[in-house]
Amino acid sequence: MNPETLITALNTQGVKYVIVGGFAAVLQGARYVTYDVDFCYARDEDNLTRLFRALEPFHPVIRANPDVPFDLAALRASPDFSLDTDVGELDLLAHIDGLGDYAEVARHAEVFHVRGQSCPVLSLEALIVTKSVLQRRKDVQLLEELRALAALRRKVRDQGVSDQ
Amino acid sequence: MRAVDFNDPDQVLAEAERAGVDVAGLRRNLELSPDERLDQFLKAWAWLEWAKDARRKEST
Repeated sequence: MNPETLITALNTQGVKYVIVGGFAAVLQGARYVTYDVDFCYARDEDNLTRLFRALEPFHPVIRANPDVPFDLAALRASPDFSLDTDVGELDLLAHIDGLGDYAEVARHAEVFHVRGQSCPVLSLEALIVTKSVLQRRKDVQLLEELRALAALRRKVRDQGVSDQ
Repeated sequence: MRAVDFNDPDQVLAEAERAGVDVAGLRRNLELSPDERLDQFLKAWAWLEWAKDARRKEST
């Protein structure tokens, strides 16, 4: 897995994206280990072209259907993809349950600096919303961790206020 | 099921600990930069990959 190379490629091509899911939770401070990087992306034609240019060098293969080439036509035809690539497993999502499409997800993004790259990451509060609507076992486990992180941040913030 | 007041951080943390969350580890993570969090994650991921590979070799 090589998320820094992925982030650099997305930024170099000017892709509109937000890191979501388990990897966003990691950057927010969770101790969760995920095997893929999930991101939400904008579906306008310009962004589809930029996204394809960013991912093409990593030899993406559609996990569920390896015989179908991952190209611009495939991207136009379908909103969500699970890909195997040279930089690891990626999940491309046009819509996030509990939030909406890219425009709505981007409203809940915070910019992190990772290996010198600016990286839009879904906020902790929005991650909690998205995991609250999912019922998979791994989501329920991660939700407990995210709520604990939010509680710790709140305690730190409250402590800071009472120290002033 | 116990009702947790999500506006009360102490209740949330107590419930998380009961559910097996490493709250002390999360507290340490909050002190780390995103780069340090990524380093820690990549180490854990590499170790799990190594363990998965070792199990696969053992079973063949």
